[in-house]
Amino acid sequence: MGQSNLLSIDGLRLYYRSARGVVRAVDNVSLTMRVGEVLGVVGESGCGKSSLANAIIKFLPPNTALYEGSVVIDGVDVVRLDEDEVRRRIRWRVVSMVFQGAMNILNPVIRVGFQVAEPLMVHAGASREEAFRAAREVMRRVGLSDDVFNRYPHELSGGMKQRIVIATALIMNPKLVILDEPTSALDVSIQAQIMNMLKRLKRELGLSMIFITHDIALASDISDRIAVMYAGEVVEVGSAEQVLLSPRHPYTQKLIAATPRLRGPKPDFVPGQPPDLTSPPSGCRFHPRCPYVMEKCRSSEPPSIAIEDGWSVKCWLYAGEAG
Amino acid sequence: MTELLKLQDVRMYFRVRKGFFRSVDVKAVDGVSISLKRGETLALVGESGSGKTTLARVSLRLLKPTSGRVLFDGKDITETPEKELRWFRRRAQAIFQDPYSSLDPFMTVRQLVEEPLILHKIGSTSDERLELVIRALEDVKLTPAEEFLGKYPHMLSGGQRQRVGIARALILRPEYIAADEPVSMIDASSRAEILYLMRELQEKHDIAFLYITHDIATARHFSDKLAVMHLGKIVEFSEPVEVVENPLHPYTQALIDAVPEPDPANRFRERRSVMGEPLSPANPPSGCNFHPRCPYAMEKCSKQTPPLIEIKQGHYVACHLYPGE
Repeated sequence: MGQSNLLSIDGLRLYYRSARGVVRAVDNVSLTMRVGEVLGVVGESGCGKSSLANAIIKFLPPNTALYEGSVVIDGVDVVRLDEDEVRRRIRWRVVSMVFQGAMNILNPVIRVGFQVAEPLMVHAGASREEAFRAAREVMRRVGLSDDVFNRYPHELSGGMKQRIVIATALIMNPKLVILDEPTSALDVSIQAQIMNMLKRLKRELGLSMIFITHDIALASDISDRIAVMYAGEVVEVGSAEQVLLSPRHPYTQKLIAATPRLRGPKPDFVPGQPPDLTSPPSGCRFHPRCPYVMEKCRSSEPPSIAIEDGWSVKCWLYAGEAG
Repeated sequence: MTELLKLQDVRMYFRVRKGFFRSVDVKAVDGVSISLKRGETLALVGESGSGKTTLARVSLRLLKPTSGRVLFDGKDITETPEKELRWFRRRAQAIFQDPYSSLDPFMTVRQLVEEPLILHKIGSTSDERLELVIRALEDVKLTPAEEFLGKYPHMLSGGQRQRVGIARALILRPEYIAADEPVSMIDASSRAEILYLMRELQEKHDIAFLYITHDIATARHFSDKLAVMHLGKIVEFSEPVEVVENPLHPYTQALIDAVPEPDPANRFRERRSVMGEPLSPANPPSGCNFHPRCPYAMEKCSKQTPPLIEIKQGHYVACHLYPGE
């Protein structure tokens, strides 16, 4: 596994305009990822995790109010590229994305093999033969047999459709694949099979992935590092061991305790509602729901505090431990 | 204590046209018996296509079963025509999976929760009904209730919407509620909160719950009895702790293995999983219908359907691995 940075995000902000005001979906996020690593991004719905993914590939909706900071992938800052360059140089070939629910928007009247091959023909000018050969190869990689190539989406099960979507994301050999809730609509047994397939891709191809989910247990199934997002911010980031075995941020602790376990105590939950991102709470954004809230938390925003190398937490409880 | 709800050997077949002349029966529910006492929760666990939702619909008499009996509070309602079921409609309610599509987006929370009262002609004045609506909202912890009355569904979070769905079911003071995947579309971090709420309301109002879920881990913590369904049949049944600690059926074992827990070591090993995709009830395998996916399948399994038998005190399983006496 390489040690070089594949991705460095610094001070990234993505705000949207809405009728209620400006939504601060991604607010001052900084993260790094190494080659061959899987980064899990975990948080409740509306915490900005999908927006973070969109910001990384500069997939900006028309109501974008602010997009700033830097996203350096493979030496190129995506934020500074114009749309045309992002399309030509970044999407599909450097970073590809499996959108949430993508398996439901496969074209129903086109054979799935063609849909997998299409990006190669459109974006790389490959011939039909080359593209089809590559598509068959990548479909085999994701565990689909050869006869699936000529089928239509309605002839496939949910698990197979999700494999098609993942195959499409892999067709141009991207350096990074972003997966947004890739198993959330699937049965548990299919979920386990898809996760096993992703683990194999990681092992065999050294594939780097960002895995987005609201379920921290599912994130633990594949992530080397985990970033916990709350209200547009990363509140804790570290290795899977650091974050899962000794979570520091009260929100991370709650997320882990909320996982229903077959053996052990009844699950806990995060009380209250996530905040409205048009007017996030003052100070620490988690303070209205935090069991350890102090006076300071209400008034001033906690800095990102390094616990160990590569492990940081945005919480006043650890202000004394810095260094 | 007598049973509030009893389903006896219920079969629910749907006739589906295949081509021009042929039609086949999809055996969504194929010989299931369950019973529920007041104040008790039965969890029905299975994957999509297992027939758990169909069974719930039969239990609410939204479907008339192909065969078998449905009894509620001692009365046989299997064949009762809809116009004579009004008393039952009031006493049995449902909570649905999707809090995003099961609430009319153009109705306020007040209208949504009030609607069942109007349908059942409860409360003579608007003020009287408002009082009941407020009490129901307080029951589901949407407080202060006055703040939620005028809101529309899109202004609420997933968890809040599901609370509105629960308040709608609760306002008629039902004795039985069928909850079909009530938390599967809610964030993992808020699921337990809704389930605790349902538990609390159950104790307060002595409600019998049918909790339908694909998640055996929440079923373990929020039920009194647990039944595992596969392709229209119950394959294992016992108390939740017993099922989880000593799963007998290979399908139950696979469902348990498929539950991820937050452990950083997970990423270094593959998860054990059931072979293949869930099978289609339109074309069920012969014999034990789990045999094509079963790691322990024997010759017998493809020929004979194993009956559901009591292997030990209160623990039932339908599997040839456990021959009865």
